Amino acid sequence: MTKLGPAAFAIATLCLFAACAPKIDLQAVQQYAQATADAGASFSTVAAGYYQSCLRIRELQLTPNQMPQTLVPLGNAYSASTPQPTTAPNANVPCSDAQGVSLEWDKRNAIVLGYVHALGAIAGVDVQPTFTPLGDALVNAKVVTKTEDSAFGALAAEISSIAISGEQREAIASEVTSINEPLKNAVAALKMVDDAYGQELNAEFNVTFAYYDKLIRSELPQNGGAPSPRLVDKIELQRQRYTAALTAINADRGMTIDYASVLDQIAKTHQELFDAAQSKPGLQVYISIIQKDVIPLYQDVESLRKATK
Amino acid sequence: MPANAALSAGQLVQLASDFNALANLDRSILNDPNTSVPNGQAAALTGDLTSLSNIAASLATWGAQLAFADSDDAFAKISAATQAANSKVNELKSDVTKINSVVNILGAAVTLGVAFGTGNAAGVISAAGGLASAVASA
Repeated sequence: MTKLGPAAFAIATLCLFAACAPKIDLQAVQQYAQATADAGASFSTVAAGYYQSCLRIRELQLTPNQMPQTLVPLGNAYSASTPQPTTAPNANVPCSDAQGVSLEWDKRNAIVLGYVHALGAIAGVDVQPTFTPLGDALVNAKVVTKTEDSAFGALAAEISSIAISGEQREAIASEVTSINEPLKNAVAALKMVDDAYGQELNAEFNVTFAYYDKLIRSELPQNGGAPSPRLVDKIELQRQRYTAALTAINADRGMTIDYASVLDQIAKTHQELFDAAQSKPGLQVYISIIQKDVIPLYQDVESLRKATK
Repeated sequence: MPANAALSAGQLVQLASDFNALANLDRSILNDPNTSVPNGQAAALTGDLTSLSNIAASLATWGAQLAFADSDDAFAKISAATQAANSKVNELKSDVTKINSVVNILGAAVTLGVAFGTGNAAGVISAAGGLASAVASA
């Protein structure tokens, strides 16, 4: 009987695993996970914004007598000192519903981010065992030469890593196949909450306008006379704060668009992985996934990160 | 959130958008330089604007709450899949560790065999220690 040489064995093993394992590109999965993880901090900022917007709307709805006293804190309403949602919403305090939305939103963002992170963790397991201890012992025992040991070690490591990476691809394929529909639903829900946040911000925009309009009208002379130079300066300052407030709201609106864009990319890349897991296409398809989906995802995450700074 | 809400999350958010659009209408009247709104009417419009915006904000929040409720199942499945994936990571790492352990034992056994073959007592003791250590860490 012809003895099966190491090279033939290696080729047979490679073919075996190549035929069995789904054609998931592990590097693409790792890049997908990394790009998604980069979005994590920005997602939290977007989620916290819901509660903060509600607080600002509430602050703007004060009686005219209260208005001048609150103008200075209002100017600071967009700084880092803006209250963050805590882990214990209290139904008896203002904006508790919005606080609940912020907390739940953050929690659910984390679920999606955690899932993609876990996919990346599977793809990122170092599957290269070391055969050095055995090889060194065989060389010392003069069973094999140093050259033969190098060839043996490389072959053994390669075969082992192919076996385990096949297992990695199987695991990823199984995950993306079972989660593709739930992920679509989850992303749709997150985008719905994002839309709701957009309406919260539109409401804040309108209430901000109403606040300054009412304030300045109340300060102008009721007899139609010219305002004093002091009043003109005061109104100018109020107009500056009004403009700054609207600019900040518009920046938050921009964030909601960037957030939705990142979610779309997460779902789209997951769909590509799902398709890859089903159809077992060639390498070119995976290169295409990286070029068409992962790179735009990086760009969207970068844009969101800049917006939330 | 209202129990058994008759409206979907999407409809609630759309309603919020409609109320904001009405508020925008008031704002555009107040903003229009060609419209001289008497102070009394301006106050009424400003009041409407604020009320409409408050309703919009409430509707948006209900919509968000309903979107969460509707997607509970999807998020639960994703959480479960994440746990399974994390277990798989440990399993894969364990596979590599097991292979490395076996390799260590084989290497130590070869070294022990060589030491026996040469009749080197000190070498036998040292190699046996190495084998015991490799087995213990496997």
